[in-house]
Amino acid sequence: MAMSLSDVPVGFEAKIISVPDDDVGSRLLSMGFVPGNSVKVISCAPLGDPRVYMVMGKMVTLRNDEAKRILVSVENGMEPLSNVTDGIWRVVHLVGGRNFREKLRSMGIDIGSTVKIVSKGVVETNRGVFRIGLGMARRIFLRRDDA
Amino acid sequence: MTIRVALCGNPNVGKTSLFNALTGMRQYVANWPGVTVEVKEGVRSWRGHQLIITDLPGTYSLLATSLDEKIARDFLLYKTPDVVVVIADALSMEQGLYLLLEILELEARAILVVNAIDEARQKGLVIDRQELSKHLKVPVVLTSALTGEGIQDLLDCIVSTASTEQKRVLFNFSDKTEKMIQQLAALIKAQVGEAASRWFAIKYLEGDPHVVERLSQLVLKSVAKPGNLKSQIARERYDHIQLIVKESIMAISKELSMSEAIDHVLTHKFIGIPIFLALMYLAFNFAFETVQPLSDFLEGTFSHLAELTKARLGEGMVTSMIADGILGGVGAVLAFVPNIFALFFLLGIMEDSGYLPRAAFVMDRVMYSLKLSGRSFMSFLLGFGCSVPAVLSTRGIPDVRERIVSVLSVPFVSCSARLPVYLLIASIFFSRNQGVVVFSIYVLSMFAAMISSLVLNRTLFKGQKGIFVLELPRYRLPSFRNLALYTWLRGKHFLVKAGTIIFISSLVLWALMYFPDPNDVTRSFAAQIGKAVSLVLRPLKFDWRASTALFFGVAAKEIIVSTFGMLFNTQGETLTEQLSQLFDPVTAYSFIVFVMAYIPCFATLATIKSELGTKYAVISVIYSFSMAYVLALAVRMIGGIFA
Repeated sequence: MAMSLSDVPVGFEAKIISVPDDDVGSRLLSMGFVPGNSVKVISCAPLGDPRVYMVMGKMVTLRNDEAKRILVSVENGMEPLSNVTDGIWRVVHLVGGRNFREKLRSMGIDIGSTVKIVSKGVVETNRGVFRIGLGMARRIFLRRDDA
Repeated sequence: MTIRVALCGNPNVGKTSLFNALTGMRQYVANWPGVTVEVKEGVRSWRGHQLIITDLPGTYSLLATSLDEKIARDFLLYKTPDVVVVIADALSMEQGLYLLLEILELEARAILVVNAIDEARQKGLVIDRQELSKHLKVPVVLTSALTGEGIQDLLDCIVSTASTEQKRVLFNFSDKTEKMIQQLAALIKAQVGEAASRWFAIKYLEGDPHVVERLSQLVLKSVAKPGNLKSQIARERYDHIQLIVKESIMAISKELSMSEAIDHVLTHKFIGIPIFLALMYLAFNFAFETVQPLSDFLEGTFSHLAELTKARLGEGMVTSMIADGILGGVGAVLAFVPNIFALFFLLGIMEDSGYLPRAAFVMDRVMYSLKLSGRSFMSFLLGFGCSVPAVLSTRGIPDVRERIVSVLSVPFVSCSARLPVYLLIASIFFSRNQGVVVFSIYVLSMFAAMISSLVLNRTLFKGQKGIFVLELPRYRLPSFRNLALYTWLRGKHFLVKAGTIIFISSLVLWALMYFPDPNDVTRSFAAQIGKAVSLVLRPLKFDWRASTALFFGVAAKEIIVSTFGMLFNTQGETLTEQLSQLFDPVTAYSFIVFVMAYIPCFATLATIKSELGTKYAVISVIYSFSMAYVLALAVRMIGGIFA
C-alpha cells in the first residue's frame, strides 16, 4: 500500500508509485524518480531535513516537503502501521528515540513482537488493546505474520 | 572551418573540468543579455579547425521547468550548434543518457562522452564503447577530464562528426505512446507547420510549460491533455536506458565506497554541523586573516606612493588627483585582491572536492524557514568579513531567485569595515556598555538580513517556490590545474568588472571632495551633497555633518570615521568632544543602526552590478536605504519612549 517517501525510514528501500504532477515532478522524473524504480533512503541531515536518497546510482537530496509528495511502497511487504487495517503482524522496525521505544514497549509493542490489528489505528498486544495516533503509527513498521 | 560545439550534461559530471581540458585558458564568461546564469565559452584550434565551445548549464532534462534548462534548451533550439557533446558519468550513466535521448529528439549531431573513466576502471567497471555506440547510434568517447585521457579522441571525434550529415536518430516509444505522438505531431504540423513537430508533440505530452503555452491555441486536447504521458514517457526512456546500460557494462563491482565513509562523518547527525562550522571558521580565517598582511601591504604601498608623489610634485590639483584620486583608487581595488583570490581558491576546493553540496545539505533546514537553501548560508557567514566576497560567493547558487535574494540581503550582515564606526560611536556615547551595544548591532544585522530575505521572497518573488533537489557527487581530490583556472578566471572577472567601477567611483569621490576649494572640506561639493541629503535625514536628526559622513561612507564604511575627523578639523576641540555634542544617545544608536544597514559600499555595489546587472545594483541602493531608514526611525521612536 502507498505511503510517502518521507516516511520511509533510513536504510530502507522503496518502490516509486507516483511523483507529483507539476514542475517538481518533471524534475524528479528526469533525475530517475520514475514510477517502478526503487529508491533507497541513505541518510538524514543533522536537523532531520532534507534526506539523501539513492536513485539509479546517484545520491540525491530531497526536502521532506517534496519527498512527502512522492508515493512509494516499501519493499518486502513491509507496511507502516498507519496503512494496516486488520490481521496479525510482526513489528520489524521502529523510527524514533528511546522515549518513543519505551512508550511502545509499555504497550507491548517492540521489534520482534506480534500484534493484532483490530481496526485502523487500534492494536491488540499481549498488554491489552490500544489506540495509536497517526503520527506514531507512521513510525511503526510491520510485516504480515502468517504463521 | 569553424565548428560550434555545445557541452551538455547533468550537474556534477565533470563538465567544467572537461571544458577546462578542452579550452584551457582560452575561455571567458559569455555575455548573454538578460542571463543571470553563468555560461562560459572557449576556443580551441584543432587540426586546422577552430572549435568554439559553449559550456551550457548543467541540467537533467530539457523540459524548461527551470532557468538552467531553458537556457540550455533555447541554445540548442535556436542557436543550433554543429555538434552537441553530451557528458555522462561513467559510474552512473543513466541520467546522462536520459538527457542524450532528449537531445537526440532535437535531431542534433551528438557525441556521447563517458567521463571519469579512470574512476570507473578503479572500481572494476568495464564499459563497452562499441556496444554503447551501437545501441545509441551516436559516437561514444571515453574520457577522464582529470588525467586528460581521451581528450584528443574527443577533439578528433568532434571534427569528424561535424562533417557528417545530420541524421535522425530517434528512440521509438512503445506503440501506444508512439501512436499518440504521431497523432499530435500530425495535428501540429497541419496547423503550424513546425519542422520539429515530433519534438513539440513529445514535449506537449511531457507537460513542458513553454511548449504547452505555445500550442495553447491548437485544439490538441481532444487527443491528449498536456502532460498526460509525463510519467509514461520518462518510464519508457529509462527502461530503454537500463537495457542499454545492462548490455554495455561488462563488469560491476559493489563495494562500500570511500565517499560513503567520508559522508558518514561530514554529514553526521551530531558532528555534521560542528564540522561545517569549523571548516567555515578556517575558511573565514584564511580569507580574511591569513592573507590580510598582503592586503595591508598593498594598501600601505599605495598610500606610501601617494605620499611620495606629493613630496615630489608639490601641492596642486594634478598632484592631488594622482596621489589621492588615482593611486588611492588603484589601492582600493588591489586591497581586495588577496581576499578575493583566497576566497575563490577555497570555494574552488570545496566545489571540486564535493563538499559544497554537503555543506548545503547539512545547513539546509536552518535556511529553509527563510525560503532559502543551505547553499546561501555560507554567503551570509562570509558577509561578516566583507560583503564583496560574500556577494561573489553566491555565484553557483543554482536557483536564480535564491541567488538574487541572497545578493540583496547579504550586505545587511555587518562587515568588518563597519566596526570602526560602531566602536567610535559606542566609545563616546555608551562608554559603560560598549560591548553590549556593538554586540547588539551585530545581532540586529543578522536579523536585518533574515527579515530582508523574507521580505524579498514575499514581495519581489511572491509565489515562487524554489525546489531544492541536489545531487551529492562523489568526493574527488581537487586537481591543481582546475583550481588555478577557477581562481584565476573568477578573480580576473572581479578585477576587470568590479575593479573598474571601484576605481572610477574613487576618482569621482576625490573630485567631489577636492572642488571647489581644496583647503576647506566643509565647502566641497561632497559637503553640499551632504547638506542636501540631510534634508531627507532630518526626521532621524542627522545633521549635515553626519549626512556628509554617511555620503562618504558609501565609498567605504570605515571612511565615516575619517570624514568626521576632517569635518571637525577646523575647530580646536577634540573629535570626541565635538561628536558628543552632535548626537544624543538615541540618535547615536540610530546612527550606527543606519550605518549597519544603509547603502552597500561602492565595491559591493560594483560587485552586485557585475554579478546581476545594473538593475539589481539600483534596487540594492534603494532597498537598503529604505530598510536603514525604517530601522533607524524605529530606534528613534522606541528610544523616544524610554528617553
